[in-house]
Amino acid sequence: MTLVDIRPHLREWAMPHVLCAGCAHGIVGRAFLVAVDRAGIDPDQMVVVAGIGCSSRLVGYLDFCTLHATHGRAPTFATGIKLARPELTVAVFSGDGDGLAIGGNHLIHAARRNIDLTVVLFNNEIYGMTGGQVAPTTQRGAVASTTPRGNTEPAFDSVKLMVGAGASFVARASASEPFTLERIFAEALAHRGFAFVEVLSNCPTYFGRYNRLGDGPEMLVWLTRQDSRVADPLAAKRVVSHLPVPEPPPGLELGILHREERPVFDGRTPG
Amino acid sequence: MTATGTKRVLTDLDVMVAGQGGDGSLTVANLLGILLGRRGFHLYVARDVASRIKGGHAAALMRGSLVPRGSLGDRIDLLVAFDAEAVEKGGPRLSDDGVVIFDASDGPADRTRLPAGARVFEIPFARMAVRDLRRDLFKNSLAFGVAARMLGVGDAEAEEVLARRFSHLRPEVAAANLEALREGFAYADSQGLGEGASPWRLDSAQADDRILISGNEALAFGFLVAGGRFYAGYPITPASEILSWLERQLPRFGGVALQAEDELAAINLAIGAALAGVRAMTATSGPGLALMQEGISQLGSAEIPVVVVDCQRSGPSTGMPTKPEQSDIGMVVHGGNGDFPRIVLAPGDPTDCFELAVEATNLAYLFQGPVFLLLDQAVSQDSVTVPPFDVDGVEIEGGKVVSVADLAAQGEYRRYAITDDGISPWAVPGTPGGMNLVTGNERNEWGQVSTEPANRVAMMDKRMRKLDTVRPRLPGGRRFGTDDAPLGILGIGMQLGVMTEAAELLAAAGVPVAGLQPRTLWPVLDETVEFVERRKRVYVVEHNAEAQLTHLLASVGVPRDRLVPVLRYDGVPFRPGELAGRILEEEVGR
Repeated sequence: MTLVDIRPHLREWAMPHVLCAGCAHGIVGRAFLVAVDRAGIDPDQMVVVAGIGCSSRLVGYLDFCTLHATHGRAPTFATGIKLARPELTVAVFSGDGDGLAIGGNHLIHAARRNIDLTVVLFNNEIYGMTGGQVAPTTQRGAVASTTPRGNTEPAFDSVKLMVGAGASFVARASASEPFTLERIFAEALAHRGFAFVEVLSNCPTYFGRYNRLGDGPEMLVWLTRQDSRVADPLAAKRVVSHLPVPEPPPGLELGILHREERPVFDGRTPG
Repeated sequence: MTATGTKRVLTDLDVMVAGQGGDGSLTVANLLGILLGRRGFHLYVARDVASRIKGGHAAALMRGSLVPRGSLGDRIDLLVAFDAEAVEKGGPRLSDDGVVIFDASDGPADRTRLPAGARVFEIPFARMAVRDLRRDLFKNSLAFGVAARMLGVGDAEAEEVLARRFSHLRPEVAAANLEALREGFAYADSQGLGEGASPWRLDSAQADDRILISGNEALAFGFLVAGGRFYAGYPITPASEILSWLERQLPRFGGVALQAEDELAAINLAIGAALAGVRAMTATSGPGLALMQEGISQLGSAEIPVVVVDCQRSGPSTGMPTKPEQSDIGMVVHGGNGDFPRIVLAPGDPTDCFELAVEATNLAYLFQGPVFLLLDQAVSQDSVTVPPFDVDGVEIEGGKVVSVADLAAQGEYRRYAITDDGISPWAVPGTPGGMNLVTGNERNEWGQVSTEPANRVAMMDKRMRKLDTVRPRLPGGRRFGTDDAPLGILGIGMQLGVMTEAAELLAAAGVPVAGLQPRTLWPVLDETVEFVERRKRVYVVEHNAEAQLTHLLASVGVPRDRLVPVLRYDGVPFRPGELAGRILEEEVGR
């Protein structure tokens, strides 16, 4: 594959961006732009909706029709857009707090409807924008500014949640594998129906510092630690938990983990 | 500043330390704050940060004054600028003989931004010893060395302060910082600023017992001391410190602090805990409070005691998260569907935050309904030196919580019994004989849902009577300025400190004003109405575009034609001289 120049899809005039040095969210954004470019989607017909948080701020730099919505509500904004203008390609950028805490209800209902959206959920296991608070994806035992003695709650597995809620395409990828990420985004964008991609990202500013996981690069190395290597990068595999706690959680599955064809919600067609 | 002999003796000093986030602006401010604190200076410390995760331009702003002041001053005396943007932002506020310590690694400072009399130290930090440590650490200690020389502080004291501040660091790091400090001294020597050669000298006074604390911390502490044992919140600037403070402290006292999945959950978790008889609170900012309206109305209807904190920030919607505003007044006073009694208290400094948090926690119990604490970003997050709080003086009032004996004597328990004072005896779950039904529907005395018109009126009137019952004990406002002046100045929250000082400046300019900071915003107290009625004109100082406080006062019968709103909505707090200037301008124009 040829190298894609993503600069035409960036609002370079809006830079420098707000993300911290070492944050992997930019890798994820880049992979998404590569996938959009390769799919040949007309930028004028591409809409990206985001909520509130670090990852959601990315839409300020993507040169599409972008919408910075309210906290947690991006899937509902996006559903409204897609129902009103079905010909547009609509994606959602959301963080783990935005999408799974305050916006969890909206996310499950969008998945249940199987509306034709691509949702990218950036999982860095923490709230960055507001100062390092615990997230619904923070593993039990991990330290955050609101769990100084370690998190007492278990974490969400968003893949299981989305499969259960009815999403017809569910994948998980890691920011440490940008080329796989590009391919998974391409599959998600091509899928008709609700496509959900959780991307394991990092937060050296808060999660890494609180949990002594090192800076950006060290955290990406952690994310590449897998219990097996399989030939097909899109097939299921498991990333080993990176948390240095006595009983680390079992880790998370990577790859395209669920795909089915079922009727796509358009708000018009019964049965 | 006053001049004695050849040295200027500093009694009131404004410092700005600014650079890119991560430059450690707070470190230099902390070190200077220790020097000032030792000399009996009161401190007011603010941070000016961009609404982002980390980095961007960030400034620590600190005022030290021998007289306690509740805001930053108008002018900056000492500007430590780690980048050109710091000069761009701080330069226009620099005093005529102000001092700039500038990181000249990327070229000289832009002097067009500075007053002609400013003294500029251009230090090529990047070319000075860096070795194997991070340069920004050195930068701070080096700049502190030059600043200490400028303030006329002895080298030995500056070294001692640095050593103590960095005592938690590894010995080699602490030693390297000491070396950097000495490089700062050497640089000062090269600029003719030898030890004892400074044109400035810090005055001093007896330092009484003080604490440096932010409003959010003081509020959380007050809630804890008043018996608060349950807190639920959701991350939001500028309220998040309340959550993290209580997450650390409540478990030590058998309480629970919980980060909820959103603000709807936060307030409903608090409702649950409160129903179980535990003193409960939630805190948020405007966008979160908008989501909590359903729960707030439930508190009012079902008569449940919860303290709700709103740390206001610039709106509308997501607005400017790190910037102060006072634009939720309408939502706090009128939000939630339907008619129900509520109390809104508005603290103006950390002492108020502590005292009113105690009062709010008690009032919620006494009146069985929502009690709001309305702050703003500056009151919430700025740190101020205040006298230690009167913890021993705190009384925990139980209100009409009934005991097993009470219940036995009554024979039959009615949760919503109609009483003269409007407050119904409350049996918390688990009290034998006190089983009851709580509901947000209109209900009869037994809690059974009812739409019967006479019952509806009786229940509504009962709820509204509660406000009259507690009204006599609602906290009065703070007065300042010239009590019998025909002109007045009135404002809440962060305006307190600015107005107090502006009143002094106005009096000195021959325009005395009487000042009032209402600490109970709702219901509007009689003293507030009378304060305006006794004046020819009252300037209402507000951070919003719609004059929300002015309209609120007018809505309860304060003569609108006597109120002159002084508005600002750019996310920047007023400074005292600036506010006095605005009022003088208005007065001259009349």
